[in-house]
This record gives sequence, C-alpha cells and structure tokens, in this order.
Amino acid sequence: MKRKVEQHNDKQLLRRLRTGDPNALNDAYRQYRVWLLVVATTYLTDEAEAKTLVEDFFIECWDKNLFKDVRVPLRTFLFKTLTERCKKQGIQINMYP
Amino acid sequence: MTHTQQQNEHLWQLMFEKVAGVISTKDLHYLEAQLREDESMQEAFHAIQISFGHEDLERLKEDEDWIDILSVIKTRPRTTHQHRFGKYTVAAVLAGLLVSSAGLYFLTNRKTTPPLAAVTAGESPQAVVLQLADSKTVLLSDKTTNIRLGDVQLHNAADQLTFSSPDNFSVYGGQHTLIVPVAKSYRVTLSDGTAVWLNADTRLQFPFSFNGSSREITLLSGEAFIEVAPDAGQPFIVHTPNSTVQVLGTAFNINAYNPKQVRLSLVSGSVKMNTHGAAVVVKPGMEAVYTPPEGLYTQSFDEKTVLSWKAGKHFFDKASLSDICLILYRHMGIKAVIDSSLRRHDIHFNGMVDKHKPIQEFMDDVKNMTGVDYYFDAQGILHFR
Repeated sequence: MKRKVEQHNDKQLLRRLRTGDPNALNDAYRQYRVWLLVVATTYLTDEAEAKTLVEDFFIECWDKNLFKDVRVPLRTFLFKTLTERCKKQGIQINMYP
Repeated sequence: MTHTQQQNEHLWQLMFEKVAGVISTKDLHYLEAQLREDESMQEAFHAIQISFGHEDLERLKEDEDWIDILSVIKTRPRTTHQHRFGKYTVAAVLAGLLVSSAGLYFLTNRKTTPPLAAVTAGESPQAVVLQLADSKTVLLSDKTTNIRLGDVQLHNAADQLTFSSPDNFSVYGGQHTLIVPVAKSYRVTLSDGTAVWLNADTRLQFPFSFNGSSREITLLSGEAFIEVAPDAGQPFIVHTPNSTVQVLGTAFNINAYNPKQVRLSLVSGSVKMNTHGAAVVVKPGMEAVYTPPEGLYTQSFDEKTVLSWKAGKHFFDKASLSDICLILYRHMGIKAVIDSSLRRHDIHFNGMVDKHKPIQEFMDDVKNMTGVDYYFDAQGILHFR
C-alpha cells in the first residue's frame, strides 16, 4: 500500500531525533528512504542490497544514537553518512570532469 | 567553472534529492542555476534521471517492500549495537568524499531480471554491459566513464573499453562477460594489449588479467575481429562453442553467430583451429569453416566482405528474405517480418546495407532488385510484402 507521506521539516525532525523520539525516526525513514535508496543503488548497483543497506542504516543511526551529535542539516548528514557506507561496501565510482 | 569538493558533493546530494522528489524549493533554484553553468554536472544529472524513471520511483515507494522500522527498533533495547547484519561499521561522518567531481557513469542491475536473461530472451537492450564473474553488471554507456572495481580501473570511451589492473589482485578475478546488444558494436583492449572488436549481438568472456600459462578468452556467441598482441611465451587461445583457435600474434575474424557453422578468417599471422577430432592450420587470406558434423575445411575469403561489419556494413551474398530479416535486426535493431501473403520464397539478394545510412535506401535496393515491396507498420516493424 502506498500512502501520502506527510512532509516534515528537517530542523524539527532533527530536534525530535536528538531527543530519541522513535516516531521521528519513522518519519525521517519514510520521508527519505527512497531518496537514499536511489543514492545507494547508484553505488552498489544491486537494488536489493542497496535497500538492505538503507534500512540497516536507519536502524544503526538509531541504535548508536548518531543523531545526537549532528550539527549539519539532516539531509547532509544522511547523504554523507550513507555514501560513506556505500563506499565501504560497494564498487567505487570515480568521476572525472 | 570549478567547485570545491564539498560544493561538488553538495550538488550531487541535491541532484539525487531532485530525482527522488525531496528537494526544497530554495535548493532547487540553487541546483538549477549551478546546472546551467556546468555542462558536466548537467550530464551527470541526466544520467541519474535516465537510470531512475518515474515507474522505478513509484515502485520503490511501495510500503510493503520496506521493513517496518518502528517494530524493529521497539522489539529490542537501545544502544545494544545489534544489527540484522553485522557487517557494517559506523561511518566516520565527515571523513572522505565519494563524489569528487562531476562526470558521467552508469551502473545498473537494479532490475530484478538479470540483463543476460533479457539479452537471450530476444529483447533489444540499448547498451553494452559487462557482466562480472560475481554477477554484478556494469553498464557501459555511450559517454566516457571511469569505473573502479576494487583494484581494477575500467575506462569506457567512444564505444571502447580499456582497463588496468595491478599484477596481483584478489578481487574481480574470474571470467567476465561483455555483452553487446543488437545494433551496436564495441571494442575491448585486453590486459595483454590484444584488441577485440565485437559485432552486434555478441558475448565475449575474458578475465581482467591473464595469469596462467596461456591467454584464453571465449566467444560465447556472435562475431569478433581479434588482433592478438604477440607473446610467444603465453599462447593466445579463443574458445568458441564448438572449437578452439590457438594463435601466436595474428589478426583474424571469427564468426560464431551460428554455433553449427563457425568461420575463422585469417588476415595475418598463423592460427591453428581445433575442433572435435580435427585440426587445421590456416594461412592468411584463407578461412577455416567448421560445420559439424560435416567437418572442417578451408577456403579463400574476401576480406572486404568479411570485415565490413567493422565499418558498420554488411554484405549479402545470395541472401534469402529471412536472412535479411536476421541481419537487419542484428545489425541495426530493426524488427522485420515477412507477410504471409508474400508467395515468393526464391529470393536471392546480393547487396550491402550500411547502418549509418537510412534504411529506406537499402529497402529500395531490395525492392528494385527482387520486386518485393515493403512497409513499416504502426509499431515500426518492417514488413516484406
């Protein structure tokens, strides 16, 4: 089933994530998982593998309380951390001008 | 226009945001302004857009495909460092950059169907792909791309692939398969410097490095022209479905479209063709033809005709209409059929088709020489009538 995802403001979302609100995690996950899957798929090439990585990424951020120390915009944090993870796991892509 | 690495990385982030539809209005304006000024970024953005179509994104949004994250985190205590899979470590958030500068790349295998199956099912895939020994697939687009696979650096430019690998590398060993779809041709330079031109609808298996006592590749199907780099210490061997060809510094064409008739046409050097129970040494200007069960024989061949495919041409010699249909599809990706109303089956056409010229020119030749008319239907399929 597909539901319309309510758009959450990043600053509020991050504030709630810092306090350890599980619903905030769910909101961020629902809002950004497709975006991050697009990113991960580009690096890993395998969609199923990329999806598992994105899911595990959110769980791990939660488990390790990573949001607590985030001082950059939420999306910047998610993008950088996830791409870092893809790099460890997958094919590296070098892009030249 | 140049960007710092950080700016570049941010642009990549925004491009992905735009494609996934989560970009903010303010960021969108910024991105659009940057893309207008930077052509290579535009190309990169286009590449992302192409690889994720609307249907893909809609499919990815389906709820039931995703785990329910709330139920996962609520079923166990916090900060236990548990993972469903223990292989990930915490990333250093700000360390390193993935995307250093703009350019273009393509990596696929997002689809559930393996590309190889799509090729053999008679579909017409658009691009050349490299299927790695571990089944990962690298899409080799028309644009210049650099792709790193562990220690192996792939460079794809102007319909040709080169790669470099260190002497001792552990990953990406094994046999990889280069798959050229219909209507395309491609060239690969192997690690020893041997150059292989691949005709449309061809599959070639090769390793990233020749480590054994011989250099061995396999033409699984299709046609290839091979210029072997001389190396007396490491003989070069080409396997085909029914035969093997052993060479020492030579240039030859090998056609294995029809596994029941493999043709090896030698331009220079010397080769020995081995088949089941028979072997023949071929001299330049001669070709060896193996048609099991009749056997193996040699004859002279016309270099211009046999090698014309490298220039995008195909010469027909007493071709039937079904031969023409086969070649038009393989050579140009044009689907052609013979209408059942056509009574004449005794057609023998001699002539040439050039993939760089309008197909109508060729069809008019066929019409003028054989009297068989043609038309295109609403689906773009060519009919002989």
